[in-house]
Amino acid sequence: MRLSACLRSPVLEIVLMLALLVISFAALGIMGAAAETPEGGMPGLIIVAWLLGFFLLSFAIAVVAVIGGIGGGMLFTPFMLAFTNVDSLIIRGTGMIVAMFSGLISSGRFMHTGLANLKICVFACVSYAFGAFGGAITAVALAKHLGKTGDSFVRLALGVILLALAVYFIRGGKKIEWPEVASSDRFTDRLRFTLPYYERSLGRVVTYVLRRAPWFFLSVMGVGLLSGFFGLGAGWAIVPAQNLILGVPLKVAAANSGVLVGMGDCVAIWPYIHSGAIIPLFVAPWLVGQVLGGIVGSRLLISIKAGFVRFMLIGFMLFSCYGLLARGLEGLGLVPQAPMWLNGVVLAGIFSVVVAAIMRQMGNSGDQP
Amino acid sequence: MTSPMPDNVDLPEMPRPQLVYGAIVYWMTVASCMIATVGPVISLAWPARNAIHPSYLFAAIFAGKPAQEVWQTSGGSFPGAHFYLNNMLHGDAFTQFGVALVGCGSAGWALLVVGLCYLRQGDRLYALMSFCVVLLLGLAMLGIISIDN
Repeated sequence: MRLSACLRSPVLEIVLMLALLVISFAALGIMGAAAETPEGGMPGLIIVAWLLGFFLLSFAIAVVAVIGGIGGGMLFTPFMLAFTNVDSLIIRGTGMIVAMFSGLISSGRFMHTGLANLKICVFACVSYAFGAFGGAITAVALAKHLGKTGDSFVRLALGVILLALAVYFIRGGKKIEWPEVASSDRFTDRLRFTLPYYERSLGRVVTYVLRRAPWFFLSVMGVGLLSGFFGLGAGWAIVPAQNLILGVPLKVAAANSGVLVGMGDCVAIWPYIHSGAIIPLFVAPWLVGQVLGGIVGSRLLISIKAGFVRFMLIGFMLFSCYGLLARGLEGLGLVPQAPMWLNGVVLAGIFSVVVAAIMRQMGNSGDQP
Repeated sequence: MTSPMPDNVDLPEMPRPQLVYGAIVYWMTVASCMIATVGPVISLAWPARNAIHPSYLFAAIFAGKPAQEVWQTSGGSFPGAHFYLNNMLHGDAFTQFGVALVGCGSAGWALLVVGLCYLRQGDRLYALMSFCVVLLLGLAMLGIISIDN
């Protein structure tokens, strides 16, 4: 790569961020090794190991989530709720950071190319922000007044939602790459959404007509409520809402979804921040991993076939679903704690199904994944 | 890397508010990432100056303590969402500044400028929508709308 290219965006800031990251972790390692451990405290090097581990995990989630087309929040929040003892409000607040920052970092690129449509995002954000803010307030209130029982209900509810989503993803969901909208309605017309953009895969400029904006507005408010309450991203619902209700082309809907989640969650995160659920040193490595992983993932997406990654992520979601349902029922005193061997059996079973699905797809396509 | 745009196609010009939003959010997110990278270094360099001593933080979190109890680990209490205003040079305060005001506030700052761009273009509808979101964000940031109020 020529030096002149390295001094231009986005290469320049990527190089700067990576350099800062390496220098920071080197400094952390030296300080961790030299630091005195207070009585009853965690040694410095262990703290650094946790920070590095969180960063690497977040980076991997961001890369895989972009490639697999399933948001990072959908991976982080359910897994942490299912398999760690971390307080659910802290997990959901951090999960919202995970979901938000991958959307924020991709906003620049999508806006510049016209793949995302700012007017649709602003319109949707008005309802999404209210819904997500209401969801976040409810989450904080529930944690404050119901404590551990509320936690268990949250885990159970999320387990059921995750199961429904996994089935939706397995079936492929209904989606239309290029919706055919014969005509718009007066209300949607007045919003003047249309934004022509250059579509690389077709080699031409694409214009699209939209419809049913009021229904879209209402549906997004409900999605925001769920997203704010559970600390998930909302792409899984916003993309089909745009595609099937509004008539937005699939690729544009996916780009808008990232921008909208970044935009709307900037409002919804604040109840979590004001309740103390965002703990800076815990959140920082997850944030950095999402930003850097999102940049890398969006570039890998162009050259990597996504099929097998999607199956792995669905398997991951199903395992998290099992964990959530087990923890939720255990918290309510309805079942005993699941033994480790049962967790292993479930994991092995899901893994076998995932491998079988990938091999079947390879056999059908006659191609490597 | 993606291939460059072709020369023989008339590419549509992106509206200014769209470009402005994308640029502001992108660069504020990059800045937030850099602050969040450096913040933990400051935290570990001067551990006693943090609201939560790093040596006790992760043990409290992994023990499943509620958020308020985690903040009480070092004998203090939750200093509020904007505690960085008093202690900007402390590690966790600096990190909180990057995460909260810069990162989580980026869309709000961007929409404020976007709203002004729409007003300048005479597009009052989208200016109003942008300012609506900014108002909600502002109220949320100030904690005026919360379960305690």
